Amino acid sequence: MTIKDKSLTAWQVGIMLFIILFSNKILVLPSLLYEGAKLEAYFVPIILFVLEFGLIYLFYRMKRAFPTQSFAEILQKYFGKVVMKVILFLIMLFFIFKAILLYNVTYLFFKTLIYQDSSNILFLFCFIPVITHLGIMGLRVMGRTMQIFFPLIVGVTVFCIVIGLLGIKDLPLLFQSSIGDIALTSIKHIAGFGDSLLLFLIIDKITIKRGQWKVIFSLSGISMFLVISITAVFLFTYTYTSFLHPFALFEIMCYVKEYGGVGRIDMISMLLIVILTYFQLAIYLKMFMLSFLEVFGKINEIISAISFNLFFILAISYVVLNLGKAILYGENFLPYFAILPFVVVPVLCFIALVLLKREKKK
Amino acid sequence: MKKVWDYLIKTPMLLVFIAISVIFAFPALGASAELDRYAVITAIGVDKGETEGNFDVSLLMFVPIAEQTFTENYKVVSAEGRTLTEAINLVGLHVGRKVGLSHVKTIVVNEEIIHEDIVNILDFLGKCRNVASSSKLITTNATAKDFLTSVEKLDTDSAIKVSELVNYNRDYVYAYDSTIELFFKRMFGPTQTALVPYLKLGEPENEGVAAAAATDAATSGQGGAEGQSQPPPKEILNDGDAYLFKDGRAVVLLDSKQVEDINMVCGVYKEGSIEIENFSDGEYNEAKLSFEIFDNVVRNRIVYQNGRPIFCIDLTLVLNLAEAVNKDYTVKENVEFKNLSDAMIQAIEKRVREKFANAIGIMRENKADIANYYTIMYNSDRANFMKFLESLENADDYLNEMVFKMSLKVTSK
Repeated sequence: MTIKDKSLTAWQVGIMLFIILFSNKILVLPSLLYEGAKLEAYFVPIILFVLEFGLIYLFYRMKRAFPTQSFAEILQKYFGKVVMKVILFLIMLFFIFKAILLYNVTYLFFKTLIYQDSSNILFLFCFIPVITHLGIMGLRVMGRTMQIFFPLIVGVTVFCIVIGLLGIKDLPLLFQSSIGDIALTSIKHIAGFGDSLLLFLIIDKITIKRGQWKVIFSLSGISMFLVISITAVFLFTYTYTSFLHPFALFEIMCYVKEYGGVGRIDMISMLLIVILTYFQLAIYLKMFMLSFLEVFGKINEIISAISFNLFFILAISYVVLNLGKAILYGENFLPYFAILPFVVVPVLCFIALVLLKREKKK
Repeated sequence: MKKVWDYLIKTPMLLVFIAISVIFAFPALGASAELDRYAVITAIGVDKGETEGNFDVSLLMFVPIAEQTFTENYKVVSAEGRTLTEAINLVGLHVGRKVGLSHVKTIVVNEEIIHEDIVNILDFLGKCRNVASSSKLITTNATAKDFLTSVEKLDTDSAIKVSELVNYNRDYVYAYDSTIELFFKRMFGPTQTALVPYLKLGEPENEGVAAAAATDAATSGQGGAEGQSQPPPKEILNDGDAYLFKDGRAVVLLDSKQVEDINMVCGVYKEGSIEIENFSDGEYNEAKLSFEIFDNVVRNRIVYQNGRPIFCIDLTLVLNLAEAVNKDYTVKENVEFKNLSDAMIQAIEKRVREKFANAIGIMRENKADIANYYTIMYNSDRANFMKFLESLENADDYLNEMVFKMSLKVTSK
């Protein structure tokens, strides 16, 4: 652990959480959700965010129970070194796989809608050095940078949603999908969620003063509300043609631009998507590095960053890079890894909390 | 130098910026302009090809010419292919540029094609070629190629004018917009019906509203040169007619009066008028009266009797007597400030009920729920509506099995 990774404040953690909760949810996901759950698809993020909020609450309990220990130390203490390494290895994979999906969707978004002649190399050139730099500089630098951009991110997001409301006109058929449809769609797209797992990896690097927990809960709650709002506004704007429009946040601005004749208002959503993607990729990289260092130990953090970059570039170049493959990857492969934040880690944490309670009784 | 080097080492992002500039920015400066590589298309026309199953695609292309004038030049280029992709690629080959469709504002489809499913054509254009979903869809009696040729000859920037014509229809003639987005919304929605503007191409002496002026002799470039040597172009005539589409296919051509009647039932247009002929009361004798509509508020209620929905439409019309032409003498007072007499209200009610019956008749005859009653009934009482549909032999025939009731309130402004 480096000095620069030490002591993130409650605000920095809250903002980091605020940003990462948008990841993989505001571009392609709403359109895919419509295919499974029709207009009631906005229930899917509501359900999955309830689980996510449960994870954040679990983190709160863990932090109070283990104020100074790292997640690796907790796992090692109660479950042994092997389990700790396996879990952290899986978490490492979870974050890099999510980073691959995020990069793909953003790249395809810009290539399709902005600059069709652009190459993946150009995009990698623009993203990789910046996120690597942020990752190596550490959590505190990342947190402070996010603090600077936070008002812009909130302002632009709220603006997009408010403007998007103008696109809602007629009331379509409501409640066409069943509870089963919503549940199945939730399971299919669960991999887009579970990002608050990052809190467990930085549990020992956070200093939260008395009464500051509400900052974390409030910011994550606001972020979830905004994501649900974007999904709902998109679905009610495009209704039956939602499946034809794969880039939700951009499309709701585009609708207002094309029908309201408001210049290039859609550029604002592009700005937001770029800023969010940079930060989200940097967070994923940092989480990969933290778990990599715990799994392989005694390895320089530069090596962990290079490992991320190599794996990332290889996977992007050969596994995905078109929308069809990216969707297949996100719907059929990644959901298995969602067991980690929603089942494995909560169960382990629950056991650790019970064992700690017993220790205290003794 | 050492200081600069140290500074660069300490700020690696600056190095990245310099690297990106060197690798990407400088080659980009030397690359040819996009306008030289792309053909900017503002309108697309689709016709049946000469060979069975082929498409004849015509593109209205904006030709950028670096001159110190403000004239814009257009050119129509056509090609036939087995698929739209092949035809569009052939057009690219003819003009020596990549065909860029993201500036398309109008899609013209020939009357011959619309009796087959055109959803696939529009779907291809929207998905694979990034045609904006706000592009206007138009049907025409002539070939789409001739239509675009007329557009080209009419004036500069004519495609925009045609789309403006359709915008006018959206606001004052049809009940709703005719963009491809809305067309898809209606096709993928429960009613699968849509209205698409029908603009005729006719001789200049024909009745109707011409879209724009005739050939501008001063037009420079190829379009202008061709315009001077050829006969005057046909005019685009907007009578307010529209094709009724069901399941992606054109079912029937509605004239402007029929469209107006449907409009009144839907209650979503901004202005209009009601004409009454042979009106007589104490004041007028066999007069022609014209009432201008200021507001048209429609409220719906649905009640079920013996499982059958009774669709009650409460229509409130706010109107004024705008024009009165008496048979025997001239009206010498300002009719605008006159209150509506009981006889007038009765005559208006009779006329509106006729319009209403006509609109419902069109919808029933074609099994085309243009007013989207399906959604209204589904959202208001889903259980009863589904029971009603299940009780029908043919669920698609629900309009014929429904009972419509209208209560009308006429007030003056």
